[in-house]
Amino acid sequence: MKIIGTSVPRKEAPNKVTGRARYANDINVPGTFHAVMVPARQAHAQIIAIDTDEAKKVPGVKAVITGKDLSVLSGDVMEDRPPLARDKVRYWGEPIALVVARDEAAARRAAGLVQARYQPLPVINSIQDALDKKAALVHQQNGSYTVATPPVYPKKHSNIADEANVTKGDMDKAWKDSDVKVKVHVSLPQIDHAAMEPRIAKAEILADGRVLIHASTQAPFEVQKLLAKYFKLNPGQISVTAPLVGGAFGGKAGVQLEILAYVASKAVGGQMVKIVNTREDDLATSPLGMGFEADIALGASQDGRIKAAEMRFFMDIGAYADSAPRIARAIAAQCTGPYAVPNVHTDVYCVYTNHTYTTAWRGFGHMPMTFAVERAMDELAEALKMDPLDLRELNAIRPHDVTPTKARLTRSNLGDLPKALTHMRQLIGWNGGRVEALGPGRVRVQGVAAFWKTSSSPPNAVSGALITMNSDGSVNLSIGAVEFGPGTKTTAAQILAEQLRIPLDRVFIHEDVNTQVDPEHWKTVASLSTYMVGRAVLDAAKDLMTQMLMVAASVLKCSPDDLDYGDEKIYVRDDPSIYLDFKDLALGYKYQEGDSIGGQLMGRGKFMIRHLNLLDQQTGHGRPGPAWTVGVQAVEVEYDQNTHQYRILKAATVIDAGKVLNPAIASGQVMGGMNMGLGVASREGIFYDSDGRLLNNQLRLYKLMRMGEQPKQYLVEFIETPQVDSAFGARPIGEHAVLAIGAALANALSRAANVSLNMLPITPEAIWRARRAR
Amino acid sequence: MLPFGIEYYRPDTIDEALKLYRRLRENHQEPVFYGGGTELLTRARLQNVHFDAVIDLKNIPEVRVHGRSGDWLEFGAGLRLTDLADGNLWPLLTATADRIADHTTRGQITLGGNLLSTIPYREASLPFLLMDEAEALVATEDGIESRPLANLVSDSFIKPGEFLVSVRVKGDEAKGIAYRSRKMTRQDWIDYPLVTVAVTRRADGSLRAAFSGWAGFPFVSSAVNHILSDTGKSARRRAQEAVAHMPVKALEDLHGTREYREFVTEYTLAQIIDELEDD
Repeated sequence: MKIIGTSVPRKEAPNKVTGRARYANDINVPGTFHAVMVPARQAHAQIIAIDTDEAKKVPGVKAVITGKDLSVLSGDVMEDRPPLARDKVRYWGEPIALVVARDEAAARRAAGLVQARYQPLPVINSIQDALDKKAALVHQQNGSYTVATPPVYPKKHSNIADEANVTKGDMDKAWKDSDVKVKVHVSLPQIDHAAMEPRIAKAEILADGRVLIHASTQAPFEVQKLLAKYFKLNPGQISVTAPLVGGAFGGKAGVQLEILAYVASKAVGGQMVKIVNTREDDLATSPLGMGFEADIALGASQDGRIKAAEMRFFMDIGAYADSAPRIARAIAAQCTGPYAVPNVHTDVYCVYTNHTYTTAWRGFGHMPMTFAVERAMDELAEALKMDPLDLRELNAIRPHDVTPTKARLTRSNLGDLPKALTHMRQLIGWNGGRVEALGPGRVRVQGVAAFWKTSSSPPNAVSGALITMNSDGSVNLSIGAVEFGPGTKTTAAQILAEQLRIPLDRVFIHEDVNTQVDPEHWKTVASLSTYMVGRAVLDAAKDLMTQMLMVAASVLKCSPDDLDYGDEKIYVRDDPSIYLDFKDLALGYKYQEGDSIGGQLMGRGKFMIRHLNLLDQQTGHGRPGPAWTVGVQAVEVEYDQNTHQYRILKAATVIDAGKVLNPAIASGQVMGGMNMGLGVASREGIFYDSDGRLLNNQLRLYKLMRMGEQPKQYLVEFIETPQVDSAFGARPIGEHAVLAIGAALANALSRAANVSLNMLPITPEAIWRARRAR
Repeated sequence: MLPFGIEYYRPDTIDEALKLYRRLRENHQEPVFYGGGTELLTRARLQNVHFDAVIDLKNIPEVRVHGRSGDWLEFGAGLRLTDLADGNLWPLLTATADRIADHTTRGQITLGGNLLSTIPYREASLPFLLMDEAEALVATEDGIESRPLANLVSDSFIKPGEFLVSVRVKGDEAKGIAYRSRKMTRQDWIDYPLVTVAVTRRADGSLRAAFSGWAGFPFVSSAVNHILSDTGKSARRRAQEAVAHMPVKALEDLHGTREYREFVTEYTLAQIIDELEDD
């Protein structure tokens, strides 16, 4: 039996491709009420009055709630966000009221009738606006909010919500030792997750006090904990169900609609209430991915060895902090990219603005960080007159090096970047970065960039797995990780099937996650599910087999050590003709006389992250994750020097996967990541006008890459350096293909257009402007 | 979803449609004439427009005409944009109309809906604006009136209670003409235009250009056409001068800045002139 390493289809694939898969909005109970948010139409303003009288008159309307009705402040790191704006609005699209009605049409009509009067305040429309000494404050209370999850260091009387620093080595000496110095300033707009399924939550408060939540979420256990905290409930009272999720990308790790659904249900006597984002809500009201600016300075000796890295990163986190302080630390901890840099000074700032607030976005800050670092690397290669790939190979981080936060690296906890770089030369047919003329004004060029990432997870993250047996000897598997596309459930089932030596179709995996019955999994984020769930499943499989062998041993009158298993049988090792079928043991063994032993067999498994710690406030030193996944990405583009239009011919990734558990799913995940990263790099971006109004809150204006616009060819190659503490040696690869592909594109086009392209998205106009500004 | 209820009517004749509209108005209702719905429904969902009755015109035979009638090539206002491309009776119209939105949406959008859209582009009008003889047939209380399509963008082109039945061009003029139509976007194949340029070259060598996306309405300019037709100058030079002499300033919006629109329009015009004059 070989299931690990084979391209089995996803467990949920037949239901998905026939339209039978059920998402949160597909399961509806008759009589469910609808809640609709009323969005602010100012970016920064004092609320003078909200008139809900007309809205309440609409037939079918049951309740209209405003910020005045709620005393809760939410936020998983720092509690700075009222679920409905109170006293003032801080972004265009912020919910100022919630209408609950018998049906959606009534709720929407009524929402249109809620009238707000505002006293406009100066709009903080950019990082520069926010950092101005005389800037208006997005939060007067900054610095006095309750800190829910340290560390976070807000700066009073400023728009700086948090600051994270890393220092290593001796910067003065490093600069003296540097023969070549480059400086790069990069600038990236906020972006959307653009999951196919908009966010949704349903809440119901039963007569016995139990709270039932159904939501499209990556973090059902977080929803449970936060609702309990905000509304003074016992976590056990709250049952959160997360069915299949239609794409998440970090955007469903935050808790927003769940709070509003609960508040709405409470306002109508506990009736089930549903709140579903329109695409407009999903873009302007629910959190985005952060905007970003960075100043990178690199110093190197003449032979190309990097001596110094001095960096300042500024995150446009929007109006509320959400996960930004965690992301800031992730950026700080990996700030050099996958290179050994002895001397580092890095400051990361979370900056409040009057933009839509932000949360995790695939890569957890590593994508913008990588863009900045990899643009600087290409500038350095140019200054040194070195092949950009050679420069990366020379400086690639290796076992026995330490990270910027002085975490020790080993062959197991770090993939093999030099090998990945070597493979990339072959895969893309690396030409050294030369600009090749194709015809009048037309050139072809390649660009390359490398990445690394660890999980930046809390040091006490847990996961679990439960196995029960069915009468036919098949098994049910229950885990706490949500399925939002990357095949998490299938991977867990593969691991279990491999361990029990049974076919994959004998493993039935619980598709939904329900906090009441499934074991806790921290959050389905950080590409950690295979690692954490995998270990829990191994543990549960071992537990199950121990029990099965014990019962079998007593039936077969031998020691468990005499037994082996396979083909759904437990047999005596030296005489396999003496055996029991799994099904004979699944629900207890029944002797011929009728008396029975054993009962239903269940396997329990758990896993907890170990050896991580919070980064030190002064130096930033600490261990941010269990292991680092490394890889390299490249593109080949054709560029027209007259019109500045370009076409991506090839996009390639070589990633150290540790061990590929499912090649088809893994390549799909990597291709999807490249597609997403190239979409961001080439067209995506949130636009605000001068008053802070979000202009492109629809997909007709927020452009995503469409079929036919993708590169002509996607190339994916895996190398396998096992991570020895992970199931079968597999490394996290879920987010990673998004990380460096945009930088590779920028590097290619910068050479093709002969101008530094340090901003995203790179549209033909952006290139044209950069060339004009030269 | 629509946040309000509507009555739906599908009359079979022009007369019936007009009477229905009048009756609903007398009844203090807010009727709208309805084609493909892509604009009315998406705007209604956001409560940007309100109506309580729709009069779907697509069952009226005159609204579905598609073909020659004497000297005229006629196109019913109720034809889908995909119908135009599938029939391909007028390749210039196909070239322009088949670049509007995406294929799925073009299967809903009607010619009349695009010509009278509140979205500023209305690219299907460009081929008609380039003709000497292009007419709209409009259903009015006083019967069918023909109106020159050159006036399409004037506010009073269609008055409340009237509807567009069809548009027509002279077959000989429309088909005996060399053309190019090019939609330029910010980045994507499917997007609103930065500028869509449709250019014809007549037997006498004269060029005419129609533009969408440059301003808040589609237009042709005789001054620009005059510049473009000056074959004594290079294509590049003519394109430069044309852009400098546009009748209105270029838009500045999230698709592109004014200067960039000028840049794109200029090189697009230059390319098209070269191509048409090389043919």
